[in-house]
Amino acid sequence: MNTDLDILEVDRIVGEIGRDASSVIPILQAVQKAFKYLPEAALRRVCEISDVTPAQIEGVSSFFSQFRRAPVGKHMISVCDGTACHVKGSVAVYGSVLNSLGIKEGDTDTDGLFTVQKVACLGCCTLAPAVQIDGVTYGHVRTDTVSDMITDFLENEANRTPRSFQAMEDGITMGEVRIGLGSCCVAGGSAKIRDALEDSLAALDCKVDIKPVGCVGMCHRTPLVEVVIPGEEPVLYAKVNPEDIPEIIERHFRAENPFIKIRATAESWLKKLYTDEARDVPERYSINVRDEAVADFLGCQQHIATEHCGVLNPSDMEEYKRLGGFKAIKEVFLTCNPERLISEIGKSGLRGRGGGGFPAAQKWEAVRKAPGEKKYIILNGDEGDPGAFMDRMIMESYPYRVIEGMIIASFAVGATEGVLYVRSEYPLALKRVRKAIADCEKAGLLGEDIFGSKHSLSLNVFEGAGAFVCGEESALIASLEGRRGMPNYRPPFPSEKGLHGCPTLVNNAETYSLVPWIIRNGAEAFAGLGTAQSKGTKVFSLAGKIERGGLIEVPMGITINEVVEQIGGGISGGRTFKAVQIGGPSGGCIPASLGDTPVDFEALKDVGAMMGSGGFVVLDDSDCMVEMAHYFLSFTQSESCGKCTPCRVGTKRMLEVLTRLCNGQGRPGDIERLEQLARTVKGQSLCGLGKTAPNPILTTIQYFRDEFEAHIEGRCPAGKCQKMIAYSINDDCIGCAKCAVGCPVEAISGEPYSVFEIDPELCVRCDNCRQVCPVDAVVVE
Amino acid sequence: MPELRINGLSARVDDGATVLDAAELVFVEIPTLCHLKGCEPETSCMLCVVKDVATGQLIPACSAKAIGGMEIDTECDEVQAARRDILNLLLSEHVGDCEAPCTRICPAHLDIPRMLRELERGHMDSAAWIAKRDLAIPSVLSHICPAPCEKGCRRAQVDQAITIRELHRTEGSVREFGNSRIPGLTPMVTPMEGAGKKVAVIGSGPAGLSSAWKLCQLGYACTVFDEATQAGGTLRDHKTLPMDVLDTEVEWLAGAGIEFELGPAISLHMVSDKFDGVVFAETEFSGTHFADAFYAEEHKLAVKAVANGKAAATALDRFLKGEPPDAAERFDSKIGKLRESEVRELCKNSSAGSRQVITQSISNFGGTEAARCLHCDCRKPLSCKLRKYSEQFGADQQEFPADERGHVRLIGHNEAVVFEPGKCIKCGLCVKITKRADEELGLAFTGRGFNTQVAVPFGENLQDGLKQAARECVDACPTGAFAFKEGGEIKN
Repeated sequence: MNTDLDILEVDRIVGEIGRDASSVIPILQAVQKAFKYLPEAALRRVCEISDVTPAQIEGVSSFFSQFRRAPVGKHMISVCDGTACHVKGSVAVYGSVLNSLGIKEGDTDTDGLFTVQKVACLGCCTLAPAVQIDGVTYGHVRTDTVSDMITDFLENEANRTPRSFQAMEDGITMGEVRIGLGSCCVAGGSAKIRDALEDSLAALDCKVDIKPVGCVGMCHRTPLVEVVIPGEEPVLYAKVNPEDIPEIIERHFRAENPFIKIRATAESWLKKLYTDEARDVPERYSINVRDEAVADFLGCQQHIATEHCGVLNPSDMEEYKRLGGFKAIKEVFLTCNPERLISEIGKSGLRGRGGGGFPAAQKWEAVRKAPGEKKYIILNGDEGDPGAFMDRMIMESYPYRVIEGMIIASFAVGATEGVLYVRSEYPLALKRVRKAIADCEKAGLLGEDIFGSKHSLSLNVFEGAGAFVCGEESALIASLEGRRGMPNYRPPFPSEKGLHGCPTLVNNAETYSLVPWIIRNGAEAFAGLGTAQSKGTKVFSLAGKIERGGLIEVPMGITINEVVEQIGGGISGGRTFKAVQIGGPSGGCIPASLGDTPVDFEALKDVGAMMGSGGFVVLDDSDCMVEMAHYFLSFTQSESCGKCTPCRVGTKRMLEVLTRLCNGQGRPGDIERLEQLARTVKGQSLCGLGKTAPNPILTTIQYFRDEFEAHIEGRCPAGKCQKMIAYSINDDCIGCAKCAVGCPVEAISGEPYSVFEIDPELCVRCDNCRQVCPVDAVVVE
Repeated sequence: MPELRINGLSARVDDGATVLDAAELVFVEIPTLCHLKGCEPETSCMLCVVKDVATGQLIPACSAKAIGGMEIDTECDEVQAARRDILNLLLSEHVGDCEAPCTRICPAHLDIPRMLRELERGHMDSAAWIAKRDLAIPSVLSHICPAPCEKGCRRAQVDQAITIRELHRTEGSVREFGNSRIPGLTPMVTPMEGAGKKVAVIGSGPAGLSSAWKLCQLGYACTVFDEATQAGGTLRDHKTLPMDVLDTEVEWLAGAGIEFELGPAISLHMVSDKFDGVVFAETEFSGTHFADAFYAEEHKLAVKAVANGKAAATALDRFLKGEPPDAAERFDSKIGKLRESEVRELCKNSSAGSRQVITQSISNFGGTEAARCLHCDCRKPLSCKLRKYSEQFGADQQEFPADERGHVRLIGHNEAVVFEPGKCIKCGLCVKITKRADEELGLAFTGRGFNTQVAVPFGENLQDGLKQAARECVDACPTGAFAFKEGGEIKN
């Protein structure tokens, strides 16, 4: 089948990327991009013409989930199963997608058009549940809207060619319109908004700048549009539709030529008369920054890593400079030596934001002191926690700040070469950091002898190929060297023996992005924020069952309740706050009763959770804690690298017990068996993934043991575990047929205006019928 | 040169040495599965955990560097429990039997698969020797044993069980090996630790004969006493057993060096004065029990009596050597009934014919019948480190039961080496060895996590992946995952 394979293309790829064995991952990525999968003939060819061996290519290509060895359909449907999507019903959505295409898991439909896969996290937690088809993200997908989504994709999106920005004219403008271009906003539809803005402004012939800005954090109200006119109070519009744009524009800007204004107005009137597309701008969407809700959302926050959020154009280096960017570098290079710099970082109390909370200064000092000519600096942007997207947002919105932090850190430790290791699932982040690196190189901020300091640094970007374990630094380094992403026993730590055996500094995006602020404002200012042990701020992705989700940066020491109630606006839908899951699959579930726990490395550890990289998912009383434990463990189990026995086999055995519990087949002694397995996995695993994988299970058992006991008795108190519940329709049914229309599997039948029935055999328990029923006639038992 | 203490013993090691190196220096044994000298540590099995007393943490000895002042405990309960947990986890995914069901069911644990393989190759002498070694009176049993072994035979899932009972008849050839040596199988009538000591066996039934033969193999000068004039005990009253078969067996045992004192009444005082040890092999034990005597109960199931006799002999041997009684049985991994697909998989390695009734000489038909054996036993029952440590640490395969056990798969049906993925513990040694040997294809880890497998790249044949390093891989593999197809280890 590969006879017609274009071997020359393979040769070209290898020629371009390099023949050394450590290039295997970029080579595979390029081959997959060219052929949409990895044809065996192409892999054999790579081995022929490079130093990559068959064993290596086989091992690496089967390790990372990005790589596909079999052909796939024309379009890839990725159903997100991140934490936020999961608690909002992504499993049912996934089932519905499969159903509507008539295929099984991982299959391609008969037309070869779609392949469906479940993905760990698209990082659009506030749009949950989210589905991505190729590059298009659909948010708030329901089981009954799945087929519409697919139709919409085929009709509109598959053939849509993205427009490029029109060049902005120089000269005096009447103001600017800011649109959020973080991934959440893009997924929320900001690209269409941009098109509509351009159309409207062109129609009015207004000189108005369209300014893309990074993530505002208010992801729960995307897409956001802010109109800023000099001398006037800025106005923020949330959840904007493209159809709303002409109205918004007309409200704020007047055409320079009165005739155009009249014509434009007339046209829009006509449009309103003859089509039903155009609508009034719903007032309720327009929000003032001084609105109470917005003030609450932003009020407790403190923007350091996310400084200038909502203002800064992510790809505008000049603006970054104007707002104080790169000042810290000059300051450091002119006034500091590495020792003093590290002691300054030490004074600030900065601890790594990647999960472990290791003091940054200690790590830097270790790399600085480690003997070796060559040293490396790595940005760990392989954030893979389901339900967390802090690093993605920081790299997307503040790429220059991240690089500035890296330049300062490299000066401190004496690293001359660096890698930004970014998940390939974050295309926007990749694009922005690549551009930022190129800009910095042009500006002399990267390269030889930066600012005459004799310090040199070159940076490259590496696309992670899809393995959560590569967030572990030794596994990350293994994959950089072209090996399977399997961790090594530490010590030796990377600070002593890292990339290619050289001393290597590894920090994540958030850690680096805090550094410039510390330098500019002084260590004391940073240390003045937070608690005794945890200084500064922490970025969280706040999602789940709250009113207002999004990306937040809060001072350490703020309590869980404050985050949930004030920033998040409390639990949505009138339900009760049950628990919060912090730290993703390594963290734990903290019950509402411990809501006074402060956000602090030690305090969170004391209650059995951990800071992790910063997922903050709020759960309400309809969430089953056993199911949550199962969810997190199924993630870590599938992401285990398989190297050490406790993690490889232990997590599997634990998952089997949890699956049994969720299916109502629990046995007496299962809780104790789980605890024993958890102790083994936690105590004896090789790396952090295994050592922390039992945390979600141990904390849920600790705080919600009664729910586990209920499952052994065959009950799911939250009514969530599908095998233990049944849907039926009672006599209150008015026969409106809404449920039957929305049912993705046609399990509901009945005559109009009589009581309908649910076939329990067909029912997939997607809960859609209960949600659409106007008279609450659908009951769950 | 850092100096550290291991179980209180001081060890001074070179810089860069591991805790495992240090332990070796002071002769403290630490169990390992994934470790191979000369290879970078894999830190995969985690069996080598030891306790760092200062931090209280369990650390893998194979990878943890020895640091001056370290205090290491390799014996404490916590370490033992941790190792047992690791073994239990590995066993929970281990798809393989240590012993074939036939051997396990046979009370006397006749090494049936090995015997069949010798027959298949035409090594009649070797086959006969195995039968003799394990059963003492194999020809007698071939007439009267109800053959529980055949009821456990997995070949029955395909067509009918192997004819095992008739195949352990020792014809002509058995006469010769009283003093001969068969290649690969060394008759045990050689001086051993038991040499010079004299033992007595009271009773000449199957238990007595078996006990005497076992003691004889262990190197003792053995005398069998019986008040009857002919040896054989209850066997003499058997209705269908041809007595000449029994006579031949007794004759052979006498020829192998066992003394028989038949007829006169036995004076127990005389026996206890003249002999270093005594085994009482009788149906019922009445009267005085001797404090340091050993008892082998006769049993109406002759093969059970044979087993009792062997056990008593072994116990006496340990007693005379001053060793504690051997309480632990050999560890056996068990996978239970095979699935249809698995039987078919194993069938690829055996001949297709249906069961033959052996009425004629074994040398004519034994080989063909033996070739029907599925070889469902492990090819490395003795050298398997997983089995060894499971025994040592008292592992329990049922501690963490799997929902569904993995599939029996056999890779390399027509090749010298076979690979059974179900027995692989993913230690990575074979992957490293083939890489070091510069194999063109070699072996690779494929997949991730629990689904990690060892495979030849691009789905090529096993022999193409192992052009140079086959032997090294088989030797290094800590379990029966990699073995020579025709290999097999000789038990004693």
